[in-house]
Order: sequence, then C-alpha cells, then structure tokens
Amino acid sequence: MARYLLRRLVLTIPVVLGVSIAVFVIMRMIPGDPVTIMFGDVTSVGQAASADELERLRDQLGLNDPLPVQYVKWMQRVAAGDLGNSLIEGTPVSNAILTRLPATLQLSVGALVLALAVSLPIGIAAAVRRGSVVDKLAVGISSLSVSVPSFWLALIMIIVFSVYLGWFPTGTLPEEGLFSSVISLFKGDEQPFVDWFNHAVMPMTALAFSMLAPLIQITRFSLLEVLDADYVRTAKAKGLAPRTVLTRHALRTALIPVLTVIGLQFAYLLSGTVLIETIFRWPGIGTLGYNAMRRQDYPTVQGVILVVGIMFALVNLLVDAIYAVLDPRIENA
Amino acid sequence: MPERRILPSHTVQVGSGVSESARSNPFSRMGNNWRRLLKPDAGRVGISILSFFVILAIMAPVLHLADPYQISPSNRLQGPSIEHIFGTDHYGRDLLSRVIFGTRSSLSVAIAAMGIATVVGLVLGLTAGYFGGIWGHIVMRSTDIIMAFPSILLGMALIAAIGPGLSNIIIVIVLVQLPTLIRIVRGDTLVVKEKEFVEASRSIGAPARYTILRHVLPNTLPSLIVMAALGMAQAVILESAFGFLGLGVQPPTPSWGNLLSEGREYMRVAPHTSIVPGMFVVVLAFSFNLLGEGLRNRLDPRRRV
Repeated sequence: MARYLLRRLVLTIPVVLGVSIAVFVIMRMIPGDPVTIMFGDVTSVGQAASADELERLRDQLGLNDPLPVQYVKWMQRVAAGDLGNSLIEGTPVSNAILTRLPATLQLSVGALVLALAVSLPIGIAAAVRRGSVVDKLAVGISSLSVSVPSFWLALIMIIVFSVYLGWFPTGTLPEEGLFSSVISLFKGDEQPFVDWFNHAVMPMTALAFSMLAPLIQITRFSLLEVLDADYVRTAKAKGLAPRTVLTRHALRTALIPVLTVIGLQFAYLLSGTVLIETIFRWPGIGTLGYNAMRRQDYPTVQGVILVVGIMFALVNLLVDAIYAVLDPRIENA
Repeated sequence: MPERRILPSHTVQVGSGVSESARSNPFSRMGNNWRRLLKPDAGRVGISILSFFVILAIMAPVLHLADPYQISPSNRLQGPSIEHIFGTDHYGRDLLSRVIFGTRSSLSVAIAAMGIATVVGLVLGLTAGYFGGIWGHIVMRSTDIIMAFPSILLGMALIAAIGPGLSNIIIVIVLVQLPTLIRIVRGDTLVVKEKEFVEASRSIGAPARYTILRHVLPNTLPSLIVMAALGMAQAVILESAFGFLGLGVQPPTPSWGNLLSEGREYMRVAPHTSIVPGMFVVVLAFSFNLLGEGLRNRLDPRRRV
C-alpha cells in the first residue's frame, strides 16, 4: 500500500506544478502589469509619475526579469507561504485567504454532508428496488439536479423563503461560525447553532442540489453491480436477512467508488461556492476571488486559484489514500 | 440488416480487418437506431424541445416581438401582463422579447463551444490513446491540471486575461469541457486498440492514420456523442453562470446569463426578471440532458445507468 500511495504522491507533483505554471501564465497574460494598475491612473490623487519612475518600480518588483526567472522566484516565495500582497489593501494575500477559508469550508463540507444524506438513501433504495417508484424518483431528481443551475436555485430560494415567507435571512455568515456554535450547543446554548443553520441552510442546499445527480447515480450503479456478485448471492443463499446482506456485504464494497466521486465533486463544489458565496455575501474565498477580479487585484486572484487548485489535488490524494485503506485489492494493483 | 456507412468507405480493401470492424462498428446499426430514436421517449422529447428553441432563435427577428432594445421608462419592472407576457425589465424593455433574443446568444455559445470541444477532444483523445507514450502523458497530465481548477475560477482568471465577450466565453467553455471528452475518447481508444481487427489492420501494414480513422474512430463516437449532448447542457448552464457574473456576453445584447445578472438586482421588487430567464436555462439544459440519455440508451448500452 505504501508503494501505491507513494506512486500517487509522485503523480500529484506534476499536477501541482502544472497548476502553478498555468496560474502564472494566465496572470501574465492579463493586459497591464501591476505597476500600471497601481500607478497608471493617479490623476485623482496627484501628478502622474514619470515613465522612468514606473520603470524603476518594475525593476524593483522584478517585473523586467525573464518569465522563467519570475516564475522560479514566485514559486520560492509561494513555497515559503508568501502569496504576495493585495494591490488594493496592501496586506498579504495569504492572510486574506486563511481568514476566509473556514467560511468556505463550512459551506462546502456542510453541502457535501447534506448531499450525501439525501443521495445515499435514494441511490441505495433505487438499486435495491430497481424499476420501482423510488428508482423513477431517483432518475427524476438526477435530471433536475443536472439541469437547474445552482445560482438560479439560490435566487429562487431567496425569493420564496426570504422575500415572501421571511423564514431565512438572505445571507452572510453569522459572527459565530459552525465550530464555535457547536461548542455552545454542547454547553447547552443552542441559539448560536440555530442562527448559523438559518444563515447556512439556503446556500448549503443550493450547493448540495447540483451534487445529487452524480452521487445518486454512482451509488445506484455500483450497488447494482455488487448485488449481482457471487459473494452476495452466497450470503443470501446461506440465509442471511436481506438487510444484513445489504449492510454487511454489499454496501461495504459498493460505497468505495462513491468515495472517488466525492473527491471529484470537491472541484465542482469549490466552483459552485464562487457563485453561491457572491449571492449570499458569504465571506469565503469565492467572494474574495470574485471581488478581487472585479477590482483587478490580481495577486489575490492568483493566490485564490493556486490555493484552490492545490487543495483539489490534495483532496484527491487523500481520497486515494482512504481508498487504499478500504480496499485491500489496491495493494496488488 | 442494411448497412449504412457514415464514414466514406475507402477504396483499399484491408482483408478481414474490414469485416471485423464492420461487425463491431456500432454505426452499422444506426439506421435502426434512428428509427427507434423517433419513438416517444427521453431522446425524442429532448429533440422536440430543442427544435423548438432552435426555431425560436432563428425566427426571433420575424416573430413580431417587441423591440428587445426599446427602452420605456414608464413601463419599468412591470409584472407579467397581456401586453408583456413576461413583464418588463428595469429599463422597461419587453422581457419575452429579450429572453427569446437571448436564446440566440446562449444557444450559439453552447453549440460553438461544444462543437469545437468535441472535435479537439476527439483528435487529442484518439492520438493520446492510440500512440500513448510521451504525447499521451502530456495530454493526460494537461487534463489533470485543467480539472484541478474549479471551472468558474478558471473562467474568471481567463476572462480577466483575455476580456469578456462572446468568443472568449466560448474559449473558456471549450477548455472546461475538454478534459471529460478527451478522457472518454482515450478510454475507448485504449480498449479498441487491443481488439483483433485493429491488430489485423496494423499487421498488414495499414498506416496509423488509416487504422485510426477507419477502425478506431467509429468505435469511439457513440460515447463521445452522448457526452457531447450531456456537455451541451453543462455549456448552457456555464454560459448563464459566466453571464450572471458579468463575464459573458456583454449587455445590451441579451443572453440568458446577463438577463439573470440584471434581474438579480431587482430580485425583491420584480422577481419575474430572475425567474423567467432561469426557467429557459433549466428547460434547455433539461432537454439536452434528455437527448443525452436517449442517445446513451441507443448508442452506448454498456454505459446505460
């Protein structure tokens, strides 16, 4: 297993490097360099700096170095945790990302849990009772889930549940996040958690909805395959209760592919958070990246994309590791 | 069963390779399949709704609709009425007319993007799968890298670099959709490559290009066509998402995405400006998904879910 994990780790390295090169190249393609963006149009604050002066700043910032040199220098700083400073605020990008990451994680993990809680039972029931009403319902929900844009669902939920019914607030994360509100919950004060839930339920639902289709489909498909396997027939033949066959024998194997899909869904999740976070003014890295792009704050955009890309590669590595632990057959592969 | 050849038949006879590949060529069953496609089922319903949208997009200028650009301040943000079936937007422009004209932008972005992505994906997937080696590695690692970016963030960065607009949004959607298509074609190519008829073709000295085009390509098309149809649904949704973020087709030209973006500002006072364009996105995406499922049942029974 160690060899398998090592091989996966080695395969992750070129992806992470590729991600960083892609981010670097895209950011250099943007017309107008940081110096122009910062000092190109300063007529509202004073006399414009001379071209020589701007050129000296470019030299200082290393913007006149050849691109490969700039890339290596940038990667050295990134490896040391320095993602540069925001062009607007002047503060380190890494700080901005770190302070906003928890909000995004609460939202995306919450959405994932919600999506699993809905799609696993439906997927399992659809496989066990193939062709039944539940199976048709599963197909219906899947088709809706891939056809309804999550951000539009979010708008509709706001119109219905906030504007008309007034059940939930339209957004943003309350002062007390999930972690601290759960701690208060254990101390006997449920108010912060209720408050958190009220704020998070609509963005989480909107995000979770688009993940239902792949999760339901893979659960149903892999369970159907396992249910036909010899060892499941043997378990049935020796007289085990159908429920025991399902939980002790079939599901154990069938849920492993679901894990892979969860890893892949993580990318879609982070993509969806950009849209959902901006709609609900959720203080996560999606909003950070979007606002930075609107304000041409490219170091921030660059940092957000790099962090998200690396996170995605690591999540998939983690999923592969869990996979290897759960499925002993991997060792021989 | 009469055979219908989709690909031009070559003059060179390649012995047993041809008959083998004809038997394994799923397109030899196409005549029958198209007949079955016309029976009432998911695929047929999908095609019907799609045709309706295509006709709507083409016919938009001659439908006697209100001018989608006519501003009418006194009529702003009106709800649905007989005069304005879908109401009006914040400039008093007729929403029905704007949504129908928006169909043109949204549909052409999706069709152009998926058309390019399908052709490029086919070429890259076939060559990566058939030749493998360093080229295969380069192609596959590139798809890994693209897939490591959330599509919206990747789109945002690219649009920042190349600017918003119709053709740039097409480029972004092509990039986002490519990895899936490359992978599906490569996967099929790897399987077909090992088949006896491909081996036969190679062993009698047929050039690689001939073997790929005549024997491998036809066997990769069924899954590719299904994925392209399903990808169209995603392309429609992506266009609306980028438009919603202000990165797609720029106003005043209407597209479903930028209509949603404008509607969002007036969500509380005039919810119809958000609901209507979104409904169109949902229905069109839904019909592409139906078509994809219908095609999957016909062309690619192995992957039927």
